[in-house]
Amino acid sequence: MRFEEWKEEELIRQAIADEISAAEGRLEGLEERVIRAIAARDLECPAWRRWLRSLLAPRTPALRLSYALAALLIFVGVGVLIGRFAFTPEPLPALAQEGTVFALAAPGAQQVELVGDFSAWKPIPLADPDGDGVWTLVLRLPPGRYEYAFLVDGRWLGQDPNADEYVRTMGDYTSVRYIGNGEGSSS
Amino acid sequence: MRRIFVLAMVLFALSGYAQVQFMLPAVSPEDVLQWLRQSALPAAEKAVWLRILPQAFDEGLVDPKIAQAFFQRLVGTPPTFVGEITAIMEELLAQGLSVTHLMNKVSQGIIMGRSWAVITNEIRLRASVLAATHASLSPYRPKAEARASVSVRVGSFAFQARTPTWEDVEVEIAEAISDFIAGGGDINDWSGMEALARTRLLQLRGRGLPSNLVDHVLQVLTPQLIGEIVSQAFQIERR
Amino acid sequence: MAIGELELIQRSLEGDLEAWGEIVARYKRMVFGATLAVLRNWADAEDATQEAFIRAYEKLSYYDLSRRFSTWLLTVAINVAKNMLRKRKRDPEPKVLHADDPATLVEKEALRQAVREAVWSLPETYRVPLVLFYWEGLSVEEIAKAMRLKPATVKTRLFRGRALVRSKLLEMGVTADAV
Repeated sequence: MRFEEWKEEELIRQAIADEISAAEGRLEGLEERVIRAIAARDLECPAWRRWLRSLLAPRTPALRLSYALAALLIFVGVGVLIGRFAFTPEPLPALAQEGTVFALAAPGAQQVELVGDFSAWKPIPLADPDGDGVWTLVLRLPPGRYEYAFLVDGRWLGQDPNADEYVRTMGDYTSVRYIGNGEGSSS
Repeated sequence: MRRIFVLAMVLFALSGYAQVQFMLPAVSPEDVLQWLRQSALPAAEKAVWLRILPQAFDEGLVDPKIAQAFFQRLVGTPPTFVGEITAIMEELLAQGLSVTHLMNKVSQGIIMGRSWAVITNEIRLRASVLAATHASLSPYRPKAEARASVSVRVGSFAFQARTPTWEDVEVEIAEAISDFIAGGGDINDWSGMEALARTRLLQLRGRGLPSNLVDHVLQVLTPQLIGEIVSQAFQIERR
Repeated sequence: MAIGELELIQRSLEGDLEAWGEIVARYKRMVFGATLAVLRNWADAEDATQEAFIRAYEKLSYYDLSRRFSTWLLTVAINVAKNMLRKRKRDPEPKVLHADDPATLVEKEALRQAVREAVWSLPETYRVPLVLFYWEGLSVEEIAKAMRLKPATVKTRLFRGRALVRSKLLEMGVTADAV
């Protein structure tokens, strides 16, 4: 024998409601508990940051979304065009171009590559156009801390003489550079 | 309209960055999931990642670009290795902790040619330290920072224009401690670890980490706090 | 979105905890239902509900406005509850749901009790979609989004869940006559 579907649904609905309603008493005062837990981690919020947040907080997205979307398309388009024409991918002599210079003297090497956390450790080839054994590459990196190393003919070279510091991990050295204009740094 | 201009400036700066040649091609979370589905990773671990990644992407705990490279490298490695690494990262993600830097560490280990055991140990160490760091620093987390990480979303566009957050501060401290230990430092040298963490935070202050967050955490960073982290990470009985 | 909810979310983003408290008040039953469906334990569900609201507050800036807020909140809640469940799996699962009136139950009451037990002893896979469907009145699409499943999968689980309830009741000796 089978239950009639609507009766069955009613029974199930009832069964669920019974259980949850019986337990619901526990939700009494949950709002206060949540607020207290969040507030327990409170610290004073500087006024300028509040301003920044209110600047960026969404208000009526239905309306603004279309404006923002339009602006997005315009500016991305412009940005892409400017970027494409202003940046050349070939490595240039150190002083001639803005960016971080990676240089290694490796005469006799067939291939020199750079690997680092900025490239998810995928190799980026350096170039030695004049064949004097000095391989270079210029990268524009956002401010931060970067770990990297060279691969000279496939061999790991973890100590770049131009690095800011070295770390030793997994049995070998890795080089570190700090990029950008820091406020509390020595370089 | 103010907001539009702020958004536009952010985008303008972004598109400038996007032109730098070393940048890996923009990868969206959907791209990663799609690739993962068709990949040759072991079925069990593939299922785990497909289950936990969407939420992880949503919460900014995994960077799609780094994740893509990480998964590509995992293909072809021994299933036990994939299993162990997945288990460690799954646990961290369940706690709401970021694993992008650990994914990068795995990639680094593989390209260094290290054995699976060495890489796994390294990840395990860093994961323990990160979890312990998060636990010890949670009481000091400033409320304001919970929303400073404005991940700008307009419809289905999500920009990786992340403002550094408290989570990033925790990661930097944890990594400094881990670097100290992995580099052969004495696990009881709390002052040495504190000095390294302090120096690193100061180096990043204003470039990579917001100054106010760095200043805030430096007020509470002491050798004792480091000791608490290390004891918790390695389950040491504290004297 | 409901009127006023957008305002509450925006104020919460700016740090107005009162506004978030109002959001909690509006959604706590929904979230509790979902966490109870996953965890089956009243105390755990209460903890998970509180944790879910804290976590949602912390991650509020990642909420995508083009999505429905209640669905996003549910994904956070289900995630929190499932993590708790995974940790708890090391302990034996509670066999008894809760202590209930042992007094003599009228036949109708007996049926009600039986169905209650049948539904709540379902495996999590079927229990959670059923609760979301019948408690919150969510559509198949909404459940699919909240649980990150395909709608077809949700439909199958609802169907099978109901069938399982039926067979459990038959097992327990409850027949249509009692209805």
